[in-house]
Amino acid sequence: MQLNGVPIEDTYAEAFPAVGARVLITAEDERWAREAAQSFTGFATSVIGCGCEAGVEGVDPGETPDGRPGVSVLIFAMSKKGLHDQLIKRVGQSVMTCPSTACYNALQGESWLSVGGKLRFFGDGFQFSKVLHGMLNPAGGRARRFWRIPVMDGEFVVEDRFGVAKGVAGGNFLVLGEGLQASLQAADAAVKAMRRVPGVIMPFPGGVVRSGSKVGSQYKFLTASTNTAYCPTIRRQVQSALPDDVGAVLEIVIDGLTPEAVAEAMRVGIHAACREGIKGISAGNYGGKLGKYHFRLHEILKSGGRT
Amino acid sequence: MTAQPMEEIVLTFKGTRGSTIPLEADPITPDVLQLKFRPEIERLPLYHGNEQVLLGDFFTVKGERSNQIRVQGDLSLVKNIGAGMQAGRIVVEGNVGMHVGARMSGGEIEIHGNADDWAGAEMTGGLLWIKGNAGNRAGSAYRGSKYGMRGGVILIEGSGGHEVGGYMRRGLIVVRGDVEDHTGARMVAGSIFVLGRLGARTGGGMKRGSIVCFHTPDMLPTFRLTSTYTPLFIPIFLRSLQARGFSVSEVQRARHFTRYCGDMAELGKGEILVCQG
Repeated sequence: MQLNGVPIEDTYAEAFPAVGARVLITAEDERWAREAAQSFTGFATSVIGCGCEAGVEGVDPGETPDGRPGVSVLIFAMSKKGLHDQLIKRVGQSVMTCPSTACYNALQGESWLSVGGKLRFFGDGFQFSKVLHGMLNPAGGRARRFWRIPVMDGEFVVEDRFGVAKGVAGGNFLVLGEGLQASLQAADAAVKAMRRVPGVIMPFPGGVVRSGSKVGSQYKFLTASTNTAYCPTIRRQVQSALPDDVGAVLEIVIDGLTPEAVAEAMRVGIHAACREGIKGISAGNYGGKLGKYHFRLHEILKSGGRT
Repeated sequence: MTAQPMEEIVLTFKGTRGSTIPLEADPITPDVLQLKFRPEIERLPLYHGNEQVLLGDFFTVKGERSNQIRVQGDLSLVKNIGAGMQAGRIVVEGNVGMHVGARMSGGEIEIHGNADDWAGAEMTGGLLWIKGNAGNRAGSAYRGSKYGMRGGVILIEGSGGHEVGGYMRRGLIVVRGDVEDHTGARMVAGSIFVLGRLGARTGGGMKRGSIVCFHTPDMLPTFRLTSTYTPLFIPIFLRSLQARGFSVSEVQRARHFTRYCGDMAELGKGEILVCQG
């Protein structure tokens, strides 16, 4: 299969079940909302090293509860407990600390985690709770509790509970370019296009990762190591997966709230990445034994994103 | 057996035949009527003074077995409609007497007229929407009770009387018009929004809770000014009210509020927020 003259390998991306939350951060202006969102999503590239994967959702969050500018953030972890820990730390340290911000749940989850309910103790007894009765809640019949925590610029408002939904982590594809410039430009174009898909994030810096990994290592203490088959500088020393004309490989990792959203992001990303200087598109997997979700590149491109 | 489609029950009030004695209509709740056929509804006992009468003596009944009730006529002397209701919906087309929706815990009551005293007194849930004026002690506590309203929402499009939200512990009361004295008196928690003017001694004895005012009230000396800032829960509530169809357009852009904390003669963790524009 070829797209725009670029060969698409007949392979699949292997992804894993995860739990996710959507956090809506508002502030006096968009700049401060983005500052908080950037801090919230900092050092959140991989669950293995960071405890969670987080990123700013590309789509406009639309109307916010308080009517101020807002930024929507998605965060994923392997377990509810892991997600809970990360939410409390990140809302507490990155949003509450940021001037003028407020923090709301933006996901009708399958279950709920107490976030504001834990952070309220920072108010040292002067915190206020306000409950928006379910009958006044435009989003549905559920009552929403907001905590008002006194802080030095006024009040930090944070929602009591955040919804948790099952999601998908580790959707991916590889951009095989003739050199670094070509791969970077293609990956950049892909990420730009993918950010228009709701319900997904690309958690690595700029949405792109260069240090793809494989399971295992020659060192016993290491569970994952560099993806030797895709490293161009050692292609003659290992069993390489790279054609001779490939000089640089970049990977785009996608986490999403649904498999459909991940597949759609992969589809638009691959379309955008197939441009001049790209020698092939592939995907990372572990032989199909580890991950529940298999996103077959040919099927995604043929079916218009549906898996 | 398949479930019948629910049509509403229409109760049309025939009047009290010149009597000024109120009629106590406790059974007019969806919880009672939804299981009854029309003849059973007509035979429900009501009290007219100390005399037991039948519902059919004072109302014509159309429909049966529904949790949607429409009550028509001037019901100013009919008390306790929807009192203690847990679910369903009552629409009152006209004025209604005392204790409407008192101690209700769920469902909705919509009154296209004025409500007399004790509307929604000690309610714990649901929505009581009064399109006209409310009498005294809406959402308040009965004498001797520790707490007033403990949940739910009361929306008053006209004015409120004395002691709105007295001893309130939870929930929301919004009054678009003016209110009389003692609003939120001895309030323990919850929120009261008054878009009009307030009478004397607002928040007297309150421990916690919020009274949001859009006109400056006469502040008791036991309230202390803290700061002027933007409390974000106010736009959240106002936007939700607007979305629900309760117009607050005249105050929707309000952002700056001066916060007074009090009542310092009590716990002092309550607040009166006064709009500054």
